[in-house]
Amino acid sequence: MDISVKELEHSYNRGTPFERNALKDINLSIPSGTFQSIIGHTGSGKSTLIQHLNGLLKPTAGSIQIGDFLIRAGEKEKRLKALRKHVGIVFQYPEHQLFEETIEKDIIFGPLNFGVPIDEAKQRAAKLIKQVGLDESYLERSPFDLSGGQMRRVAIAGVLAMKPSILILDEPTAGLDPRGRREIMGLFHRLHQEEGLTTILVTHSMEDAARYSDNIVIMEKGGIALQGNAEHIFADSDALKALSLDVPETVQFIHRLEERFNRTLPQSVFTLDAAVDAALTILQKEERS
Amino acid sequence: MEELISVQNVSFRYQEEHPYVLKDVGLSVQKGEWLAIVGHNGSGKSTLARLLNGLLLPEKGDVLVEGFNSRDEESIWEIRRRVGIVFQNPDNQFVGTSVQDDVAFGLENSGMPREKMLERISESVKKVRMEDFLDQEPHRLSGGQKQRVAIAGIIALRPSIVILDEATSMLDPAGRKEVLQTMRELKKEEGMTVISITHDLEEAARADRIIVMNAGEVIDEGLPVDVFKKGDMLEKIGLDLPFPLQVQRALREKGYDFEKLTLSQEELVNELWTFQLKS
Amino acid sequence: MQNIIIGQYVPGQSFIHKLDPRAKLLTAFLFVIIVFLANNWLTYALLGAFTLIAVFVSRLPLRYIYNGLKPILLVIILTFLLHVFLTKEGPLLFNLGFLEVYEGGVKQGVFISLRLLFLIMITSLLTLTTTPIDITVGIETLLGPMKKIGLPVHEFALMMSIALRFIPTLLEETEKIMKAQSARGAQFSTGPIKERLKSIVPLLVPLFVSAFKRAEDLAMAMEARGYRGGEGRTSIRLLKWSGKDTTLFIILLILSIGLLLLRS
Repeated sequence: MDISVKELEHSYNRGTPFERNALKDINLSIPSGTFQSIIGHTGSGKSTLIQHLNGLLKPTAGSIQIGDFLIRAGEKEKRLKALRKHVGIVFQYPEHQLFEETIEKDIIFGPLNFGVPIDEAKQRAAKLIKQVGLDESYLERSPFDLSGGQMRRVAIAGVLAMKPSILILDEPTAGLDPRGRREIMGLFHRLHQEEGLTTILVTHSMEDAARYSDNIVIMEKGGIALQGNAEHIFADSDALKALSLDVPETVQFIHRLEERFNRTLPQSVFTLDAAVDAALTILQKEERS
Repeated sequence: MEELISVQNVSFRYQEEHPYVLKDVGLSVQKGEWLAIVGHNGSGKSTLARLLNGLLLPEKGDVLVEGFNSRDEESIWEIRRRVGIVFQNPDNQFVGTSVQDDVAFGLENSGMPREKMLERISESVKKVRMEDFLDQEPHRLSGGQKQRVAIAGIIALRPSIVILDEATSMLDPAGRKEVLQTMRELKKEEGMTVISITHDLEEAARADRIIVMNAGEVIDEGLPVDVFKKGDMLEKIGLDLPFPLQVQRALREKGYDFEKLTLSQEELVNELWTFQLKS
Repeated sequence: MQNIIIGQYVPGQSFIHKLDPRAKLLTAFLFVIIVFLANNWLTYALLGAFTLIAVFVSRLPLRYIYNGLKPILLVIILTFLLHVFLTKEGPLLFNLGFLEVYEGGVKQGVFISLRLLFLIMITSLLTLTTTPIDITVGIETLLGPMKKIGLPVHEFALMMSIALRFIPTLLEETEKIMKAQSARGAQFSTGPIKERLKSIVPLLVPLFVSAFKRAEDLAMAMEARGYRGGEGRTSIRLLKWSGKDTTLFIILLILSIGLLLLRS
């Protein structure tokens, strides 16, 4: 399902002295099956934006088209529940949403709400618990006996169990240690490719955004400041610095090499291997000359 | 060098039938240093922090802070006054209904007269640059600001040591920078001793000394450049090497023999430059 | 979620805002008593004048006062009607079939409703012009002497202030969890009562789990910062009794004497 956001505007506490414009003039199109990252400082409107994509927040002005669902300011979309079946959100610290006695019951909570037969829901749970890296024997255990990282995996399984075609991830690795971070991002990347999901990642990690995204949006004060593919976004380090955002380390490295060796290097270097290759080309060429 | 904390053969577990969370841990903290204690989640590093200011007591062994043993009931308050902890969750350690109230909390506990409290408060909020937020309520502050308030509340008590117990792990990059920057300034200007408990090796790379923990044991200890020589060991216990070291290691595998370890990108690029000059 | 008003404080610089919370608490308390002195039109007019002047002096937008009254309005109207129909005193005014309305009933109804109205207006003025924490400190100081008879005044005040501190945090959290569960297809607002009660479990369990975790963390943090009960503790919050506060008491005294003289 393609997503198309047009002139979206949202203000909190409208009509009270606490009114605050959280989003303004957002135009964004996310084609089906792409990986979209959203970057920005805390309070830039990222979370507000993604909550519009499954009707948790209603636009104050503008519209959101998702497949054949249309959400418009001032109108009620009656099929919100049907929309939410298609759009799964993994919220920040999703482990806080666990509530059932057993892990299995928690994972099938979403599917059952959307009318999935219980047998099928359980099958999904059995498959997903392994996919998120836990043993099937965990299904009968209480989610509250797990470590923080394991709880997060269970919560993620609970969202995936709804089989959404659009998966929204709001800083899914916040607070995890490096190994946990790598594993969780690896899982989402695999799912994105294998299941053909549309993935929307809200993140502070420039490295993740650069590595996985087809497109990146940078938000600032409720609006879109920059938008394009990784190469385009990270080509202009000055624009990012002006927004006090970092450039991925690989890109910083390339820029330093270019400066020191007075050479031009390929720009779309977003992995360690590519960075090492760039260093090697410099060293080898210098040796030959 | 003056030793502030000495941990001697400490073992600890939360309940008797449970496995030990810390096993025969020994370490010492020197006055004025920035000590990073690294390890992945569950390695026992946060438990260690709680033993250092008497929130937990060792099952075996002793913890001495400036000579006070945490086992003596009388010493506990002396120890807590000397060792402040900034915890992980910014919200769950903010006691007061405003910044001023929160910074005052520890001072109130110590029974300080109000006039002196006001002096200490204005002094310490300035040091963390939160002086313009004295009346602000916590839910209007960012995570980084809340952590800076927590630091102010601690330094107002004039402690000898501040422990950052994963104090930046729930913050966004901007918040992380502002908290670490604040602590670095305090160390430089006030000579504060800092123990930073973290799984971020990039942060640890800037410490004076690193202690590596795994499964409740101290498995390595030394200067950053020495500890980072054992990159494979660090990765095996679930930690991420800083990017310059990863590049350097990959290049080494391709036959480039570096003389020294490069902890920053500048150093790495400089090393590559010397390579190029040599060839 | 943001519409919930629990003692909502409206910042301001008025005479009433600047009063010592203890003066305001005592006034509200005394007002509750002297309201019962009024028993004729004149005394009610006097109380009404006091209340209206207080509202005027507070310089609060009337909307806030009205918002505070809204939930109670139905109760006031019901009380009024009950008295109108059930009190059978004085001359009969009119007759609606089985319902007879007497002059005494109307009078009684008006009086009781006014009494309620004044009480609510004065107490909302207290909460609208005083921060909850000031109210807490005020109560703690006023009840201070009770410590001697073993009343846990400090613990109570600390509990109150921590509760106040965490109300916004928990409201925010409630909203977050509601959203997360809604995204998993949960519905909170429709269906029969039994279903609704069931639907609230996915909200309540996480809230409790998180509140306990917070409480545990907070206790740890407080202990780490040297908290060991109220004994020997000093306080950063200072209440200042000034001329304004004494003036208020003189006004209140005059009001009380007036009521005593004018009541029948």
